Amino acid sequence: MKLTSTLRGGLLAGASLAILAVPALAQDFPQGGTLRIGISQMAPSPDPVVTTFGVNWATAGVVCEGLFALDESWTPQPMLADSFSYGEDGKTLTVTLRDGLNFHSGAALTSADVVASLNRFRESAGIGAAFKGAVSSISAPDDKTVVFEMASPSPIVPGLLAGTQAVIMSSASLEGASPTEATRGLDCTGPYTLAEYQPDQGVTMTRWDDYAARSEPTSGASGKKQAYADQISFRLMPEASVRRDSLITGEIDIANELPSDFYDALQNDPNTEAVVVPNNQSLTVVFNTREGVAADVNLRRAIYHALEMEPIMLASVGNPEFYTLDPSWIPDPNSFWYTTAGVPEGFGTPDPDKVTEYLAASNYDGEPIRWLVASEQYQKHFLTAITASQQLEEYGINVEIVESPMANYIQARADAAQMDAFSSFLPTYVDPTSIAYLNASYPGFWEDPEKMALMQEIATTIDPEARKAIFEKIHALAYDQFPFIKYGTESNMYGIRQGVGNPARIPSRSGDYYNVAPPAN
Amino acid sequence: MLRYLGKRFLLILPTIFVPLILVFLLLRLSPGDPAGMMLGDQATAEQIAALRNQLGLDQPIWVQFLFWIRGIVTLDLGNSIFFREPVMQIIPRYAGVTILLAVVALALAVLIGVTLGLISAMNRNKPIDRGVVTAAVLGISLPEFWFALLLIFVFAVTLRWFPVAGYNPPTAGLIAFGATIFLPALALGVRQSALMTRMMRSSMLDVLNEPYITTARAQGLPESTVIGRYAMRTAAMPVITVAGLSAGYLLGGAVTIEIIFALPGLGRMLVEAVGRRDYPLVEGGVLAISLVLAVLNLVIDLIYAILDPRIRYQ
Repeated sequence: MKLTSTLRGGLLAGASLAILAVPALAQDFPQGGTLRIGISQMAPSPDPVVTTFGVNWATAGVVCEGLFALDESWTPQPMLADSFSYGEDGKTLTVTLRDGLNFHSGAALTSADVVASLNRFRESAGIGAAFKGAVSSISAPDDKTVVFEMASPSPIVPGLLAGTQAVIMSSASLEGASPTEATRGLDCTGPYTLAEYQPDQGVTMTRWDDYAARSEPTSGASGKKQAYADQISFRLMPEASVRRDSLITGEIDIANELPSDFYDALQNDPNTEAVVVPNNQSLTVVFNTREGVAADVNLRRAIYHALEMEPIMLASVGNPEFYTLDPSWIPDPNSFWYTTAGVPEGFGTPDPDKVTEYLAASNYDGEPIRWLVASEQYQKHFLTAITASQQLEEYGINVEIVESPMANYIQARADAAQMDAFSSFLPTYVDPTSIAYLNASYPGFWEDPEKMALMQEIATTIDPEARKAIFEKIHALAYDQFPFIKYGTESNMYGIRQGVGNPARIPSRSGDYYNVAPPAN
Repeated sequence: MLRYLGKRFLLILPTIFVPLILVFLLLRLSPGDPAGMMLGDQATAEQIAALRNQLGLDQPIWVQFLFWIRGIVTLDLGNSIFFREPVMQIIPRYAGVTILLAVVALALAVLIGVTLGLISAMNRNKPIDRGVVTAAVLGISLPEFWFALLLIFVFAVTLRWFPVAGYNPPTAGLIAFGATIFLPALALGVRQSALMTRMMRSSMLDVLNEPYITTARAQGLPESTVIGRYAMRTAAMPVITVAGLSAGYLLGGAVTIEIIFALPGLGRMLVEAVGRRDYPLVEGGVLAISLVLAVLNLVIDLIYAILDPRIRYQ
């Protein structure tokens, strides 16, 4: 039991700190109205399990819930779970469900639904695969209890189950679905029901009056969900300028994913506000460490010391107020995992002497580094790549930028023979074991034995402080071997109409529209 | 006439199949695959390979081609890889919006083009003529996306007469439908209206110099009868040709407009399907567009015969 209390204490400590640091809600807002949100893209289905494109999880994030949810410090807190405990050997996690929970269809939530949902999740791509690696079986000894058996003691399961892909759906609604075959609709437990989903137009979600909210204070996606709006409506508007104009004319209340160029237009309009969410995600380049020219660690070291991050971030983001030069892989300083361990002195400043030293130690003889960019979808990534390549050329390091559509980019980067590097981004993860870059089968293929051993150690260490210390070793190792390089942290900008209540201003609140109030008419 | 129709129907087959085969090959030979796009950017190579196997995408291309041909012959276009719905059900849902958009755009283009062309011809070399000609040159030169954004800025953002984007189907009421279709249709039709203005002006000027028009006037017929009954009918022939060609252009050119105005049309759906590498849906969309264009061209040819009795089909 000591084991249990240590883990639980660690998990909940972050939450307590966050609650102290940020008041749950500055004020209360009346219920009513429709919250209209302009979004840039939609998936053919609202089912979050069938894709790892996070942008397509927004509907499920409002309609569904998991056993756990992340608070403002990215720490997992119970959501559908009432309590949880670890067995004496740390290899069994027992979760007890809350009483009186129902699905939107009216069926009672039982542990059988949890087992069905999570067995499907564990066969899916992305975090599902990490969950499968950690959990050997899931069982339901009774209607309210779920038992997770693990191959080795591991504290990471609550974190893996706090993601949107791990939501619980009724087992009846999963009939005919598979990890790649979407469900028809979403029969979940969240504060809104899915009223309509039209893939190329939008989504309508209606407040569910029978929703059983938690009593704890709101923090991120955890605690009480307010459900201010009667309806939440996503309206698909692929063009950013159209989302901006729709916001200005009052056709929508929130315009998502706006370029920083629109900041002045929104701030100068008395009816709108540009909301800048700092520390949103890192902009990076990931190297192919398995084969090819970038597999040479000394070349990667030379590249890191040749780069000047400020011009790269400025070219990409366009406004110094929208980025910071922060070397931590975990972009949000609120996160328990935030660290700058192992970062060489003077992050972001080139060191010509070290470039010369490492180039001399490398086998590099001027061949081009094939650098993939999905420029159509990620213009910012193209701009980081082109600026970095110009800086590298000054040292005789040649880059061949390979622009391609997303479909080609995903295919090419998965093949170690086809690429040497690719532009990417890194959000804040709940646990280091979820960081895609650290997965040896993820493009980049960082298979260094020391890293693999540290990853195994962190996955099976229970004490949070000990885990943090291991993560700092991994962080430092990456700042020695540079399987990827971070340029800086960018903010996210979106627009709101005046009167929108409690808009998200920190990255851990992304997508919590159930806690946002529409403007009063 | 029937024999001619039969021949034309036979010619439609290669007109449709050649682009379809090209699209089949280009999709399969170009890099990128649907499995990677389905699973997303966090999927591993093993997971992508497993899904490729499940979807039959790891079969040799000639096997996929045979399955595809069998589907075409049996009118079973398969299921969309992403929507998991029969393509035959998805296409009409999106095509309806694009056809309505193209029809309204064409109607606006004809209305504006014929009216301005007529006014211009009737006032040759006067300031109004010069103004119309200048506007027509501008209309042809303006990029559609720019004009669309200009229309949004003026009529939606500044004047607030229309919504910025979105779509209401005709079942929502004529006013609601008109409010969401007018600006996109105008943006789409402006170039065609400019072409038609020039065509109508030039054609009308030619016709007005014909001896039979002089004769009609000499017989004391009212000017409205001369223009409306005699001159317009002849002058309309080239405009009908342009309208026919425009129909194809409008169907194909609707993509940008559908994206800007967030209309759930076939063009935008096709672009997204290509991006996702949703092979069956792209092939179904190309088939639908080829079919519509082929039938449209046939209809235009037949209209010639109705308007000009001198034309006889062999």
